[in-house]
Amino acid sequence: MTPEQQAGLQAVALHQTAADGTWVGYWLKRHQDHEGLDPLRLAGKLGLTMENFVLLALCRTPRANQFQNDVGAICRRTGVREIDLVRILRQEQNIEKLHQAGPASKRGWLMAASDRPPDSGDLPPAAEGSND
Amino acid sequence: MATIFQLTAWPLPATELYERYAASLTITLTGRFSRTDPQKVYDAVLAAILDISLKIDRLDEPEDLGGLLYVVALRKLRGCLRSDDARQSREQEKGTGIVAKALEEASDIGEEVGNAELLDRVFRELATNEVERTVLEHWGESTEVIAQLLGYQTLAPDEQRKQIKPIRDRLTQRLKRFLDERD
Repeated sequence: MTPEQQAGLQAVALHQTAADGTWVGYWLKRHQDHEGLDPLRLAGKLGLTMENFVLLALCRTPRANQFQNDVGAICRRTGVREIDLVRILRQEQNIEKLHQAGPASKRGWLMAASDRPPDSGDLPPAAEGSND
Repeated sequence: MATIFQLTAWPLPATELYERYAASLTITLTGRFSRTDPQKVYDAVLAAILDISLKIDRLDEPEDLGGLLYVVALRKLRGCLRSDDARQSREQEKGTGIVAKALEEASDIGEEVGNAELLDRVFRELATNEVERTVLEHWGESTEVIAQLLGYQTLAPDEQRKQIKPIRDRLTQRLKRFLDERD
């Protein structure tokens, strides 16, 4: 295989896995976007060659109920450090959950404000140093 | 060499299939489809690998993975080429229709204009290169669309117009001459 073909295949592997949360490549792409990194930079940051970075992208996302086992298998196969992989997965999955939950509603803030005991009066406490 | 057991182990099937088969599939398919954009071959190979990796534990004969991947990749590639052909012929029909309309409006030569032979002559005689042919085929489209088709999309809109206008002017002149000679 020519170097052009290899590079072409690698680019397509990253592109196709980036489109679906089934693959680790999806979380890697999200991480790249959030951190402003291209694949080469992220691979370097993870201490991986581009070949192994592509293999990492092609791994399936670890299952919640087998998380440690799946992460271990991925790390052994691709050479990525466990701490790096877990950090990326957790961070990006949490960000996605937050996005899916949508923005905090006004009602949420009002409910928090109403936690003040009812007998403390209707007026908010005056700011320190305020004479108004 | 990975065993079937390793291939079916949860997180890694696509990784193993990629390592074992991606290169040979790519070489075989690029050899067989030597005039096809290699990007389409890469797309088909990867799509086949990802698809099969998700179904690997349900395969009847996982021993012949290479053959299976080849068939799936081939089918995907052919599907992609068929859609490309369909799209191109739709565009060509559209382009031909637009030129026919332009001719009709410009010369009032009636039904004859719809004649396929005449249109074929228009394309053959008016367009001297691929750029002119593209502009002619997409005569009624906006400058922006034509700029994209010609690969000028990175240029500023003014620059795009500057590049495309002389081509359109040239073709208009030739179209007029063509019609005058017919009268």
